[in-house]
Amino acid sequence: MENTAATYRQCEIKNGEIFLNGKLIFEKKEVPFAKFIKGAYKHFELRYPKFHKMDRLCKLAFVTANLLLEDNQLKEYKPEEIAVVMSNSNSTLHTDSKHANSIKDKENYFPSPAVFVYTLPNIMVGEICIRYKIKGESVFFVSNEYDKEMLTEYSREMIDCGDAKICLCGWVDYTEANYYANLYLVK
Amino acid sequence: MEFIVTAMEKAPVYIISDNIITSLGFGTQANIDKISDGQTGVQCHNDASIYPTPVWVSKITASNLSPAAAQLSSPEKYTKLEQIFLLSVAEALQQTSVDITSKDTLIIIASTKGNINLLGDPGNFSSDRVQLGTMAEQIQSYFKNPNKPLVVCNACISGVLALDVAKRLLRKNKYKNIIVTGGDLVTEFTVSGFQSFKAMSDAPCKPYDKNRSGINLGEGAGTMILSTEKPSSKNNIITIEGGASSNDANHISGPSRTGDGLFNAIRKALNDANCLSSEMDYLSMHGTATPYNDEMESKALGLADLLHVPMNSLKGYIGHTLGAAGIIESIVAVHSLKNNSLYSSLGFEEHGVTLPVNIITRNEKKQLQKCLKTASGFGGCNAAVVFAKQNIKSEQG
Repeated sequence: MENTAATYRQCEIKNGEIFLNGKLIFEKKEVPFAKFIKGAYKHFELRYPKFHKMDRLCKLAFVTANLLLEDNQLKEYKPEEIAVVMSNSNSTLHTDSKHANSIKDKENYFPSPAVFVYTLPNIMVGEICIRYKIKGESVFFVSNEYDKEMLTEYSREMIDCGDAKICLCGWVDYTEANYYANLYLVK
Repeated sequence: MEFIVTAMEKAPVYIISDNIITSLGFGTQANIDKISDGQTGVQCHNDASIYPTPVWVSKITASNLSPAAAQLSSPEKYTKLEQIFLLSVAEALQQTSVDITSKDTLIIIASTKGNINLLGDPGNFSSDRVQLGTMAEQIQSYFKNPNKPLVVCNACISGVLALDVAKRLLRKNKYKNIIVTGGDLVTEFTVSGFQSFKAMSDAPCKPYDKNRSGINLGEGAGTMILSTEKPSSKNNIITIEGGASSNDANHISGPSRTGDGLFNAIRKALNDANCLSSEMDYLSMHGTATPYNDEMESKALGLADLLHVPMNSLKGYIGHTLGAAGIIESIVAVHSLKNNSLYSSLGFEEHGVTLPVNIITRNEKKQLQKCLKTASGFGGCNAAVVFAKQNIKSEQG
């Protein structure tokens, strides 16, 4: 399998650490996720006001994608030539619970569109597409395990048949108990 | 390079079987009969388990589902949505000789929220059943399929996109048969969410109408069995000729104002199918009946030079069935091609979008060869698929 850091540019976030192409570039352990991700956002000076409106899953995806795509990684490509193939296991469970809590009590019923919109995992893809003007093919898969081989192969085939020239690919999953992001580029 | 790509032979993808389960009935024919009669499954439900105040939705009643589910082995082991999936796949499978236990057969599931009704209150089921991957495993193991199912969870385009994913895998000869099934429920979770967006109509929805005021949610499942092997019948064989997806890169909860995103998906799907827009005989649109969506679609059709082509939305009959919508509506479109029948766009009275789209206002018999199915959803996503009828016997006989 040629699917290694040497072949693909990739960014990984787990346990309070951020790795770019396998190299540790940021560390903020022993703090809750919300503080960690905000810390990374500030440290790397990402400057994107919409970031603060995003749910935790989208914040995780957004920071990962930003670090992966910095230095204009997509500059040679037209918006329609860039595809996104992403996956996770918990879909939008954290925000689902938040929305469910807002409708639990009929006397105190307050569903919010700003929360509800984040109950779809492909919203992460949408946020990344808006930020990077990506207009090509995209798909979001949900599976209990991260099947990197399948995602890479699917992206590779999309490129082989001419439907894309580059593909942003990978996994972004968030629950209260655990989180993991791994995005990479397939060309 | 560009030339080689377009000239490459694409393996045909045959649609060999299908099934629809909605409030209108169990089975494709039952649904098409009701649609053909102009009947709707959308009703006003005054049910606090769906929403504190009455809402117009299309729901499958327990009195309809229970007797059907009794055919399943150990139905009590499955959630309502899983039962609907199992019944839909089982019935579609019965019409074929496809071996679902073979390594050559894959199941693809399209769903936006799966068993979301179990969140926080799983009842007799384990709490991980709310995971789409775990729900998919239930379906896989019921049918003893050896391959890990793929779950496409891509908002309102999930169904159409799942067909496009299947097309890719079949063209690559990864599988001989793919069972694509889409399903979602009407739950308080989704109803309250769409209500918070003020996107729900307080009456039967009216796609493309001047007085449209939003969607009706619906529930159900649709299953299409796709194969690389040509069916034995000589006539009325329908194929997936092409498909594509796109992103607006504009807004996460509103469609593009120009329609350029959907237009991109349509253009790429036609290109993939090696078709011109002038070859389209019918358009099965998403038509949710929200002011913005329907307007956006008309702009996209204008850009694609498809304004003159007869089109409809089926949301007036079965509501918006979310992850199931793209598959259910594709099945109806496929049967439109087979039966040379165009069905009226229920709820439409007065033209209400900027561009002069050609909305079907009464059922009509017409020779149909090719059609386009589209969908658009939250996250700025769009998808389009082209279906065609392969007539072996020439029209002249």
